[in-house]
Amino acid sequence: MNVFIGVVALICCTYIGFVFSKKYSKRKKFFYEFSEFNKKIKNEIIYSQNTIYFILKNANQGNSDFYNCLNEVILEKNDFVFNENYLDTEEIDFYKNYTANIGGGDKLSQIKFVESAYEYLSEKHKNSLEDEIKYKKLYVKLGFLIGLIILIVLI
Amino acid sequence: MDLTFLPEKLYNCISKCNINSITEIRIRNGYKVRLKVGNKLYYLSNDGLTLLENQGVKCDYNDIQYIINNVTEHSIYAFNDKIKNGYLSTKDGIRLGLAGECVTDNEKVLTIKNFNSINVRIPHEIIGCSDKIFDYIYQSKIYNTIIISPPLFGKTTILKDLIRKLNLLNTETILVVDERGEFNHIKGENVDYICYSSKKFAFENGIRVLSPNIIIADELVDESDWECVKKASLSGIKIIASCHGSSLNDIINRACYKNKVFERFVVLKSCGQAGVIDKVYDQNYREL
Repeated sequence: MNVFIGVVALICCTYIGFVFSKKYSKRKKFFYEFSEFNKKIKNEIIYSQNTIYFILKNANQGNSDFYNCLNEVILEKNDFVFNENYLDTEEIDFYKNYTANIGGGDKLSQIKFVESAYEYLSEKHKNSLEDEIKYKKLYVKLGFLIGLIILIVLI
Repeated sequence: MDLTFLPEKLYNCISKCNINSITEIRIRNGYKVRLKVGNKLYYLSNDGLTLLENQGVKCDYNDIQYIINNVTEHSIYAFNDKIKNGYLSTKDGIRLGLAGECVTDNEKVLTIKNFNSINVRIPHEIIGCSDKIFDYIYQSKIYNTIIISPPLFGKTTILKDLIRKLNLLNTETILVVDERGEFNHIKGENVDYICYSSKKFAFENGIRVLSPNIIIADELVDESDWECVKKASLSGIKIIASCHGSSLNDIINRACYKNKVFERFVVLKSCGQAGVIDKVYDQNYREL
């Protein structure tokens, strides 16, 4: 019986570790999509000049926090709401400011705006990638280790 | 006619009117919305049209901004060339005239901001409104023709109907020079469109690559427009165009007017419907 409980604890702890590590995957995905959108919009502004509606409607969005929020603000004209906890206040403010200003100016001002966001997003994306590599395995291993300790204690 | 770019409160009110009868919707910051039906002005109320000002629906800056955002699809950068020329157009060919604060640099308008009024011009398709004019334009051959009238007399509506008719002839290749995107919903197997470009670009490139027999252009305004028309006519291409004015003299006395280009001058008159001919002149300015 103790072995069974220990194994269940091992699985649960590993899973909890995995759940904790998801925050980093979500951050990475968010900043990857944000950064790609920013690059795409720059190309659109300079060359084909498709509208943001067009870009959003044709983007392969899947289940994406980044696009969901952008769609709500731009396509559905609702207020900005971002409830995910993997971004800090400064990052949410940046995102809010971005959604409020993108598309709102002429070609020249928009290119400057998008270029100013480029460095910030590249840095964030790079850091989120490193964090994911660093912490994702750590949390899973930590969960597994705690589960293993429980198993050993129970046996 | 898709008017969903309007704020919901306006859209709901306008839905109660006969949209086909409306020619203009005038939306001004802080004022009641006014509608032009025929030659008369009405207010827009919750029940449709009214002559009573106190029942009118008022608009504010946010409503105007909402319309701009919707029409530009939240992408001013893609529409700024139009905005700085004072207009926007929807996919349905509805033209919005804009007024606001111009941002300038060395007297050159860079853009318009803080819009304070919008004039929504509802285009109408009246099949057959060019029947009488067509008889003058197309006899044994097609004549270079200019349609002259003040705004809102139906010049664009007539040109749309003429495109349809000329397309049905099936013998002509027609190039439509559509600077403002007002014709892009008129389709035809013999019709090519160049949209949203200057007349100069459309005429020069259109003639070179599309080899049209007829070019249709709306609203000749300045020297360069008339120059394009003259060059095209010298190439043997037939031109059908329109121009603001109230009489033949208004046109031929203009500094930019090019002599011996047009063979037919059609002057329209206002009587509440599009395409009513006042007078038609030949190339020697003799009334026909």
